[in-house]
Amino acid sequence: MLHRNAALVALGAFLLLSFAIAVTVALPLMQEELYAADEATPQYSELALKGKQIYQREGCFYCHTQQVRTIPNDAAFQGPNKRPSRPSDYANDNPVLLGTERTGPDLKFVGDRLPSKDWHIGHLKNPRAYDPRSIMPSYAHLPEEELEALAEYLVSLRDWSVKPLQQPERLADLTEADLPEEFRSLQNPFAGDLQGAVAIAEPIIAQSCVACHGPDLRGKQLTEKVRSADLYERSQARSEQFLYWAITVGSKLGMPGWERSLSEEQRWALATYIKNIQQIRP
Amino acid sequence: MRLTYREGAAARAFIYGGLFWMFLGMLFGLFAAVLMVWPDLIVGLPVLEYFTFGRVRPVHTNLVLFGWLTGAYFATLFYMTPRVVGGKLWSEGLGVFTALLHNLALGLTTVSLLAGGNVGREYAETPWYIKWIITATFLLVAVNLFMTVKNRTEKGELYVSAWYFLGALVTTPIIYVIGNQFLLPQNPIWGVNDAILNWFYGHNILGYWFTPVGVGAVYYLLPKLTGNPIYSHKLSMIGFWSIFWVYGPTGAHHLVNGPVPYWVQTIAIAFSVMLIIPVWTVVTNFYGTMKGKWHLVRDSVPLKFLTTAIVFYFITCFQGPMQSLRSVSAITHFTNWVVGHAHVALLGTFSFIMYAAIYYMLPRLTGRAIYSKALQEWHFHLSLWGFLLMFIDLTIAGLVQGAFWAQNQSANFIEGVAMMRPYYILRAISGAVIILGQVLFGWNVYKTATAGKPFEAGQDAGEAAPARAVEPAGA
Ligand code: HEC
Ligand code: HEC
Ligand code: HEM
Ligand code: HEM
Repeated sequence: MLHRNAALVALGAFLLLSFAIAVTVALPLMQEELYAADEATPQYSELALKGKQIYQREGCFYCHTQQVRTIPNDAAFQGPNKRPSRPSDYANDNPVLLGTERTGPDLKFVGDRLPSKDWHIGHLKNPRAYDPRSIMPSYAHLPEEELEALAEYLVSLRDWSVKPLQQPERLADLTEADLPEEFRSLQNPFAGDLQGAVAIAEPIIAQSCVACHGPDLRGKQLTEKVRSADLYERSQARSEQFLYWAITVGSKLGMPGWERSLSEEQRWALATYIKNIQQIRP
Repeated sequence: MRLTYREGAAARAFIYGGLFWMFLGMLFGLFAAVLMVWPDLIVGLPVLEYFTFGRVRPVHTNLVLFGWLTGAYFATLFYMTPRVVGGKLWSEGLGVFTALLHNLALGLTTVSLLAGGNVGREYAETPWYIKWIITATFLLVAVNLFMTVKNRTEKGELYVSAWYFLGALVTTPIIYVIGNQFLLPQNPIWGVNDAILNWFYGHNILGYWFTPVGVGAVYYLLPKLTGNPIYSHKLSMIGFWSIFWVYGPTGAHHLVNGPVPYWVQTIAIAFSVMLIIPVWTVVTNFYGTMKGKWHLVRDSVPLKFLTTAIVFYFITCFQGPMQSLRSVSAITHFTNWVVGHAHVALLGTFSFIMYAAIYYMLPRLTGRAIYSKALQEWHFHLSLWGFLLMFIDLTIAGLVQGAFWAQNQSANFIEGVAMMRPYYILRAISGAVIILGQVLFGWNVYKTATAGKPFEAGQDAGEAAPARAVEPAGA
């Protein structure tokens, strides 16, 4: 009888486990294509790898996943190519930081959404300044060069087959003359339809803009160095085309570019709203 | 110089060490829970400001899983193995030495994780040199127990608990070494295969360590506490062999809909669903063993813990197969639902089993009766109600989160973060209730060991069974 012999019981358990190792460990390990990189795979600089170390050390991966699933629920986290993440995206990752919980947003393509290192450094120092409801820890106690490395790592988390957004340093310093050629001649689809623009813009502003620009949209101090714009004041000096461009690309100082998260129509509605802000909400 | 140890010294050492890590680990859990409610609590405080959520959380999981539960499991193995196979523990001295090594490893774990030693792999966070100490400890424990079995005096059929113990002892070190990237300072395996390894380990440490030793302990305790033999030998066999067969290939159910090959996920899901077989047979066998003895539960706190733990085991393993399905995982994955599942398994089931085991073993290891029955009752009720509150809270929170993401396709994420706040507050409160229960437990253990009345076997409820656990029916 099997159960009289301790060695046989142990051997049986061992053999059953070996089956699992063969099928679910050894077999995937032998799949060459699971290690292959392609043009979308992140290439980490030395500084970015140092940032990854800090990311591990501080346990960012307990709150942030780095995997966009193959289901529509994750659509907002997809990169510019509108796709889930795939094995080749991780070919240069060791360890791979897929994560198991989404207390905060997925970061697999965060470098595409938020390409500004200054934005990241400001956010890491005081997440509550960007949104008071955030429960992310403040990392203001980390030395400046570590925050720099973390930010470098975060902006390299993107789809490398697509060029990163080109952002100006500071919008505040720019004038109409700096507006790129291709934006100058664009037509505003909401010309003469202010109500249509307000209907689209208002919910977006409440959801995505007041956190940084303040409920009155008059701007607020985000960090010691960064102040968001007073939209009443800026709207005076800008054309609708300039505002549309500013909203589309953002700035390194900390205005996110919305090209990849809002549609053209939505961005035009926002530009129209801000251009006429004195009239809409005096 | 030759040290000699009184019988039971190793088991006692592991119990006291385990309790220490349980308090510390739970306090870190509470600290993490509070940080999710007030993230700026520690901002600007010297040194303390480094202990952000991401550093505190792995200390919690490592201490409760490896310090507390594993410590209590070693104690259980050292106590029960000689008693089910006949004879004495091979070496008490080696046992006490492993207890020292174990506590050393946990101390190093705590310090290194707080100081930023996290290597970025869940449940495998500690630096490689600590993993070597942990592996050595485990192997020494295994040697001690294998020798105990080898020198056994009962030469007949091994009792079912011994199957589970032996199975766990051979498989766990293999899983640990493979899953921890072969304990090397530099991970040899890159990319998504690192995640596959991580979850092969992450799930099988649960399936081949936390589950079998816990189940084996119930097989020992239930006949002892009720005086009934195990309900069915056949169910015992089906349960044992099927769990060791079915648990192994399920690791990738932690990566459902993720960036690992579809077939790897599918295998994991299929085996996860099959896990219903071992779980339901074991649960049936346990409740069958209770037949005609339910009246004993009223007076026996260990039986209260055991019978509720079996319910929670059933819930865990009902949730498990469901949440591994692609469609269910789409909603529950990444949410607090999974945190609820983790706690119903490791707190509601296996910690409860260990509370029962300690209440049973302690008088027999110290020769003193449990100090206070009333404190035992309070421990049970605070643990149970605190835990139920936590579990229900996290489960609802997870569904709210998952439904919100599905509805918005993850846009407007911060709104969902804000929705979690009341649930996080309630979780912290429920955690505090649980910890209060454990303080009473710790006090009771301390008073038992130092001031308990003399104890003689047979004087507590249901101690009707013979010294060796009851022969399986039909053997
Ligand atoms: C307690 C959980 C928690 C931890 C730990 C944490 N975060 Fe966050 N993180 C959040 C939450 C919640 C948000 C969403 C609110 C916000 O933007 O602050 C967020 C947002 C972010 C964002 C903006 C993402 C986006 O798409 O808007 C980045 C980037 C980020 N975190 C990086 C990090 C890094 C780097 C670390 C580690 C140094 C870290 N987080 C640690 C919870 C956490
Ligand atoms: C994370 C914080 C943040 C969020 C969210 C944000 N902004 Fe900004 N915004 C800024 C900062 C900082 C500036 C100043 C940028 C500069 O001068 O370079 C700015 C500047 C601007 C400007 C002025 C550009 C100019 O002409 O100089 C406009 C227009 C603007 N934001 C619109 C919006 C709209 C519309 C939204 C919501 C869809 C929004 N912002 C959301 C931070 C934010
Ligand atoms: C018996 C059947 C079981 C099945 C099929 C099962 C299945 C699962 C699945 C699919 C997940 C991943 C959930 C997700 O991330 O979406 C999970 C997580 C988890 N399970 Fe189980 N489970 C079972 C039993 C257990 C037991 C017995 C334990 C404890 C000993 C346990 C402990 C855990 C823990 C701790 C996690 C969380 C892992 C993490 O993300 O950190 N489970 N389980
Ligand atoms: C001995 C009992 C306990 C055990 C075995 C245990 C185990 C665990 C495990 C395995 C996880 C990881 C969950 C996952 O990744 O899905 C976890 C997370 C956590 N536990 Fe516990 N726990 C215990 C008691 C407590 C208590 C008393 C509290 C107090 C409130 C607590 C608070 C937490 C918190 C806040 C997290 C982090 C959840 C997150 O990341 O969102 N735990 N615990």
